[in-house]
Amino acid sequence: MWVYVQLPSLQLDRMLALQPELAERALVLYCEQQQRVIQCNDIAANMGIRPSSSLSDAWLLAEDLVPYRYREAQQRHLLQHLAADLYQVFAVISLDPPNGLWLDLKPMQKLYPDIRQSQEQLQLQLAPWQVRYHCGVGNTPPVAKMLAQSGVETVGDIPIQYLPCDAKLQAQLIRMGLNTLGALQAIPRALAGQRLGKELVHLLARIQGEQHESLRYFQPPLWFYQRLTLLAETSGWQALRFPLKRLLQELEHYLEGRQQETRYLLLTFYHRDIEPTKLEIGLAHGGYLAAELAVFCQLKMESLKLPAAVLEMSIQAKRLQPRSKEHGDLLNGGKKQRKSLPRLLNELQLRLGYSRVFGVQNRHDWLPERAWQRSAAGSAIHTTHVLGRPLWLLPTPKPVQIQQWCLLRGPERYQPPWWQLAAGDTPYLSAPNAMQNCMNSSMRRSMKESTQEPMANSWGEYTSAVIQGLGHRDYWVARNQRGQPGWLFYDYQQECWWLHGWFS
Amino acid sequence: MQANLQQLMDKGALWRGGEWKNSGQNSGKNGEFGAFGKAAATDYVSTGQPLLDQALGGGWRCQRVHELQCEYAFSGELSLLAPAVIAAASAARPVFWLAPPALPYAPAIAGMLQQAGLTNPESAQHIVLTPASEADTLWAAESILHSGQAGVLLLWADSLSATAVRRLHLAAAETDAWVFVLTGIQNEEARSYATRLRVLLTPDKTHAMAANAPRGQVQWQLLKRHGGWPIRLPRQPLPRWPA
Repeated sequence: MWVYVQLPSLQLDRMLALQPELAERALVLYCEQQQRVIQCNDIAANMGIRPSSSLSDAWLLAEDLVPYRYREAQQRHLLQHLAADLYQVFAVISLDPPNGLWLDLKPMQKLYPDIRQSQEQLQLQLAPWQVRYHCGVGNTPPVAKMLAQSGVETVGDIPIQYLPCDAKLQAQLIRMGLNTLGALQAIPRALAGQRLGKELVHLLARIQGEQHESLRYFQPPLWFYQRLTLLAETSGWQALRFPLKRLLQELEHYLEGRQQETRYLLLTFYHRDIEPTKLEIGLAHGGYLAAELAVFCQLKMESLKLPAAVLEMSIQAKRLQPRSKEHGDLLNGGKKQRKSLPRLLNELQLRLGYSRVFGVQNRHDWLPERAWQRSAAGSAIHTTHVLGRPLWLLPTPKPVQIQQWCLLRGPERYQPPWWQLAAGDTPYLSAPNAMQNCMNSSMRRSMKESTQEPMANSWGEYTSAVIQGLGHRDYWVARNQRGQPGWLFYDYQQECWWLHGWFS
Repeated sequence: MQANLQQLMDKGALWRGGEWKNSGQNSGKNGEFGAFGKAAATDYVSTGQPLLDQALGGGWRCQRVHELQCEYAFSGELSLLAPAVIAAASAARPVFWLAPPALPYAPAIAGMLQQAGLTNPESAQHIVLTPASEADTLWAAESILHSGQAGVLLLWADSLSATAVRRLHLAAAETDAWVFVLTGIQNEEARSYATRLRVLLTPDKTHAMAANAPRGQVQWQLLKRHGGWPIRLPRQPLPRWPA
């Protein structure tokens, strides 16, 4: 059993749903090339405008006509989006662009044994979309489609002009006095084939369900996309906030249905002649609430300037993932937490920049600058096994005059393991940025060579590195003239002292 | 006020009636705060230094902004805040490091928490923020406080305007976080900090092991404190991060 859902004015209905202010005027969507009306609202229809009437006629019939361009790509997107929504209720969906889609009821029979239940589900699912639609139920896909399009009750009454065949064959049939599908089916198949050709036989076989239909079944998309035409051109962010809110509510509805959250939003603002402005919002922690996402968008929007007036905007949400549970302690306080930590971190990262907000984490490495690492902000710190490390580590070691320091405890020798030397990992071990300044040129050349040499030569490189004392350091706890305890090291290769951290 | 009286009060040797009202029945004896009410005890976290605790009436108070003016960075100011960091970790609330002067070194932080014998050291979150401008820093500080998530907020700034401090104060009042502002030496113009502590580094030349590298000594000077006059505490050996 198949249901065909015919959506005669999908794009227009969605426009009205997103912008209810438009409902009071005659609204049409027209095709730009042919200057013909494709979809119109009830007010326009009452004035006599019909789909496929020309745009000039429409202007004559309605003085305050609001014409918008019909976008095929958007119609396809909308249909996809609608199918994705219906996918929650119906497993087998096949799209029939631009205006319809099929649902197969057979796989759902266990869930909805009665066909009426299926129809109720369909109604429920389509209600929030606020679109007009017609349904047809038939044994085969073509019959369901013809019933939905024609609006008649029984298969036999379907007028012949809804038959999915070319106009020539239709004219032939009408001339023969066959006005309905019932009349055509009454004629013996072989006879009809003789008179009207093989094509008709195939068609009849498809209608009867004798031939297998090759339909492409719908797969739900991996992202969300929605595009919105603005009522008036706007050049300020303030005016864009309201349409954005609606789009984000749509997104929330979409994500809510899937129990997902998004980690990437792409807002595109379309201008008249120039390239659209794109605004990317990457989130470290997923979000799905419209109000929350609106704040993120606003944070990002404030830092961007619009080059021209905006006509349309679209939103795309990618990197959808299952929602992570938020742990909340019911008993222990929590009353003063007004914002969740992931949300706070998202906001901070959007405003300050992703790399400027991070967590610190231990790492199992003896090299001090590699014994810690940046981690995702908000992750907990692990236990450590090295003790006696300073609280502060200088991002780049600072050269010091050893005469001004008093060595207290040490040395703690750091020697790079052979595999790191052999693997050509040498630039990591030595030469923080500041060091390069004091290295003499020959040394720098040798460093450069050593990094460029392939693995084959690594043993020789290792031995030469050992001779040079590459990366060998002695760490000391020392005190300066003001009495502050610092963490110094002596670098054997460069034969000088560096300050690497502070204990206080 | 008479000079000798001032001297006595600076030493903390004088008991005053006003103090009694503010801080329970604090007898003023060294390190005894047993008479503090239960509610008050949770509001305070020790500085790790008995003398300073006593001067502050129990330690750092939460919901308040405390200022630490350091003549030189890295002069033991962070070790005064270590108990607050431990308290935040045991409450499983994050510590924010806003615009720190160097990298907080993860092994040292973890080592300190382990040494404190925390039952769940895995719940300690440390988040470092390095904003590009001071405006961003203040914005971040306010958002962090408004979210109510922070356990401890450490903010480094050169100098903060009166309005900025006022805003921080208001934001801090509605959370239960400990908020510390670490700056250089500031003038004594009025600001809405709860505590203003000046950390002065005074090298101890007398006990020098070597003449050119004396043992570190600090002097804490409280320019402003709750329930007391400004006070200058005796010199102490430079405290180190307990790790």
